[in-house]
Amino acid sequence: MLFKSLSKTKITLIFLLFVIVLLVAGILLGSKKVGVSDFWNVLINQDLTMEESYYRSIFELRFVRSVAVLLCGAALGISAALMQGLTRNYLADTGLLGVNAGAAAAIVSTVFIPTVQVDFFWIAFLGATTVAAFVSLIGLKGNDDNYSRLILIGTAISICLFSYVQTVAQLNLAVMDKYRFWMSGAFSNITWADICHILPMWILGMLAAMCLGYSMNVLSLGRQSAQSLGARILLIQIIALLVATNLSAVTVVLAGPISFIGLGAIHIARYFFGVDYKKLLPSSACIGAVLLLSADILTRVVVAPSEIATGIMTALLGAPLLYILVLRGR
Amino acid sequence: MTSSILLPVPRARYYSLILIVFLIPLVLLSMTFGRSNNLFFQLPDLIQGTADDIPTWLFEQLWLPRTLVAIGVGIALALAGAIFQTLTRNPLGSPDVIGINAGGSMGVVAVTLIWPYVLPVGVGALLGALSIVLLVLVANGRGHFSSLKIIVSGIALNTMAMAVIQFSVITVRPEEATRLATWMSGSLSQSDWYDVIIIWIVLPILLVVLGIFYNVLNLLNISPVLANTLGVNVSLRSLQILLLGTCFAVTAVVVAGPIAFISLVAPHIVRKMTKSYRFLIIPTALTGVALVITADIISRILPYDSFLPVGIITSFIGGIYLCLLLIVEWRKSLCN
Repeated sequence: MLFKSLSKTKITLIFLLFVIVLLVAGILLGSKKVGVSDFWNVLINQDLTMEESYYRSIFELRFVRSVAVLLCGAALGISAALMQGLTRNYLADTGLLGVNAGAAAAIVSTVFIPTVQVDFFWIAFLGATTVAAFVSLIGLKGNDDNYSRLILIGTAISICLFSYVQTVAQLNLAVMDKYRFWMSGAFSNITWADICHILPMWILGMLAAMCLGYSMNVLSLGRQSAQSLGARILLIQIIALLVATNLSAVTVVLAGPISFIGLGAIHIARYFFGVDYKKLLPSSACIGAVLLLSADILTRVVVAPSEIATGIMTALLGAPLLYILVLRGR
Repeated sequence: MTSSILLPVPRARYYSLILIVFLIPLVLLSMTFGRSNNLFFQLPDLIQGTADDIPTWLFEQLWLPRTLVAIGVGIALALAGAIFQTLTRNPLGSPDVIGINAGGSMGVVAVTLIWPYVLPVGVGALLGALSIVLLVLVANGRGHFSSLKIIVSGIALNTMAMAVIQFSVITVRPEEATRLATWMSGSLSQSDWYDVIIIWIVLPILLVVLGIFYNVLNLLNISPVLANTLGVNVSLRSLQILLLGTCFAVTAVVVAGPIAFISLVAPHIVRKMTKSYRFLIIPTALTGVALVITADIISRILPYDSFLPVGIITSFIGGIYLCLLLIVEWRKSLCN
């Protein structure tokens, strides 16, 4: 493809431009078309003389939603990159490995302990970390024939946990109502308060991830090489795991479990930027945001006036990607 | 072919006998037990048709067809799982993991929702499952079955088929979404005599065909190379057996939706219990029946307000079982 000949900075700028374009498109498109001039008015001229409902539909709903999608896309991209660096398996993704399912199951389990007033994020974090640690332990042991074992155990755990989530939803009608749309990954009910609530954790996760680039490079050399280079492997693995599950928990708390965005993001990033994690991590965040924004716009446009859950759309687009990856042999 | 019935492995004989002994009360329980009704003691009356109205209705229209369908589905799923695990030479290569069951459901949804009245349901399901089989074979590439590629691509196709189903349901008929959600995890609660007839006409035919292929299947189980040297046309027979396995899976899916994990777990249990790697039809079938009926009874007597389809229970337990299996395999590989 001809894009590969461009320099890396140009590619980064192009992707950042995509992000902005898609953000704006996310606000403009949808079942109710918003005109560009009106958007410009509200943004620049602070022109609030339009009807109340129009203003609401531009900013309070779509802008918030687009920002949430942006955050989640970036979080998913980076957490998948970290998981791939951690497990050295090019098919790893937080959705495929069941990490998102763990977070979702933890959140849904709070229905059994109604008196606990802990923030949802920490519960999701606990669930995600448990699953990620479990999967990493099983998948990390040395040989290369672990290639499919990791995916298998991730799939097994995610099927198990998703059926648990569905069980709880079926048994408890309150849970069913509140979480039905959320369970397949949906951005429809997010408020600005939710985003602000989760923003510190997101910022923390992103900053930590950006600092991990060098360590991930060392880790990707293989256990023995890394050790002989003096890296503290266990520490790096633990930190990477915690950051990945942090970001995954952020996504699940905001919008439910979404799969395959991270996988797509890191593969595209790897295509353009090579295997250097210092460049891969930020770019997979960017590309993850681009992918999720596009998927979200699609969900609103395809079945207008209603919408399907974003998680279904990403599975619809992402599963063939996984298939093609297997077809071409990793 | 007679050896398939006479069960040359002694443990298999004992296992089957014990299982039959356990199954008889289970089946009777399944036919007469419900959350608020216990008709067990009225069984003689029910059979003779001299019981009251409501118990007779419950028995004849609700629980008896459901039990018969459960038996058929158990046999079909377990045998499909055994066939696929033999063909892919990997204990994890079962139709529910690889996406064949999901493909069959995709076919059913396509034929009943998107293009209704064009094709019969069974044909639609078969086409859906066959398309997934085709895609898995394409991913495998040339040469013998590479189980890694088959399984991972199968997982991808499984997710895709499920997403396609959810997408089509929400797009085409959102009002049916709730009902279809139940069916999509595999449910026996909507079984009626029509389903009983479907499954009990198709299943004996498939079983006869399986008997015809039994020797070839055992040879393939040992090794395709060995089968080749013994004169078996491996690629042709593999394709035919693949088709047979798909038919078994599709039969179960058409009647009850994609029930997860029975196909995976039943052959495993048989292997552990009989300590034999042969392809054993009767113990596998009986194990499948036992699993499905147990899950069905559990789903019926859970003391909660809403229904839990059978598939969710089998998903949950099967997922845990699969995790334990993988952990055991992992620990074995640690010792090497």
